[in-house]
Amino acid sequence: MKTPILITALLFSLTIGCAGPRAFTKGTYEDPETVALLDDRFNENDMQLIAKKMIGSIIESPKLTAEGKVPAVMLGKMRNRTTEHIDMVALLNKLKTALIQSGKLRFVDATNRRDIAQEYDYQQSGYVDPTQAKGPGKQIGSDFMLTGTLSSNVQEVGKDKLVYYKATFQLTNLETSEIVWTDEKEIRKAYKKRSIGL
Amino acid sequence: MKRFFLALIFALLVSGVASAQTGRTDGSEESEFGKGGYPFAGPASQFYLNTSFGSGFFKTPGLANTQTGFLYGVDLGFEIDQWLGVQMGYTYLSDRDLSIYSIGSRFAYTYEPFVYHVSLSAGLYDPEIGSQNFGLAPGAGIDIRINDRVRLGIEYKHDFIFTDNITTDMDRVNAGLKFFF
Repeated sequence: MKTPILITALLFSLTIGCAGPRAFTKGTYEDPETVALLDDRFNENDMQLIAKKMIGSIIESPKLTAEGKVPAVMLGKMRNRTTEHIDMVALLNKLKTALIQSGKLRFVDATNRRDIAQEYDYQQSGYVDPTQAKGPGKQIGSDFMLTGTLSSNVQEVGKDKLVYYKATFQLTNLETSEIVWTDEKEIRKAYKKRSIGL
Repeated sequence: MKRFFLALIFALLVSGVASAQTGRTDGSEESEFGKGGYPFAGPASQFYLNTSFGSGFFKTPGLANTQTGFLYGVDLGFEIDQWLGVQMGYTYLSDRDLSIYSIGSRFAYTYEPFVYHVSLSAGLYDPEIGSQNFGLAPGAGIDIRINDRVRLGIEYKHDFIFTDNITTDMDRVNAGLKFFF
């Protein structure tokens, strides 16, 4: 009878050993471009896939470089029409960074206009060397405005769940209001509901 | 020549492993299809084969315990969900020349990487000599997940073997590997 008692004691000790508060204390750095779908929400991989498609599409668009100059673009509104909280600024910034680095587009800083205007006021106030002071009147005018919409659709039956995202971006000519470029990226992710312990 | 072919096969295997890529988002468009997922969540509804090796101890009223010696068995089960499975099995106790044919259910609770489980099975206890008897065997055990397809576990079962006049008890302890496919 000793063996069953020993086994029971082992089982009990393992159970006790797994109890108690737990925290995320063991981590490793990982390649952010490795696909990781731990849950069913919008994640960094979705953002990377959207950005990759849009960057390639914009760079290859012949209409943007037709006039032989590097066009200036301002970032417009990015609408999140999904039911999730998604950092749209991060998505736009990812696009902006890659496009600036490609040298195919220039971007004007529309986000910091108020601060820039305040800085003009300060530099023109007499405190700054007049030969170095910056002032209004020399900013470049945007040729295009980049906007986009992210929408989603969720289908859930029993253990199965399908999450669908569609990101649509467009560049609008600020002079003519013509949409000179648009593209979309569709993402569909399939999930199965499984128990994962505590 | 033989060495050359062995080296070639090895090189092909190594290159196959080296070229196998995990899912990434910086490849060609749509190359990410089918990749990802929580690694510990295996597919729902799957068959499994459980092998067990251990020993048992009979407990007949009025008699001292008798060690049965070696027992081995195999269970074929179907996991309907992670927490519920049905299984049928065959176990043989070598010292007693006793075959046990069982069918039952298994309830599991996952706490990665451990899977705790309890089971209840009904069975036919068929000795080489003597009459066949019906019995019930509740059990409990713990598995540790080695990978998505293989688990190593230990299990304890208590058998109530119903004979004409008395109920014979047996304690079984076994360890084994469980393969999911």
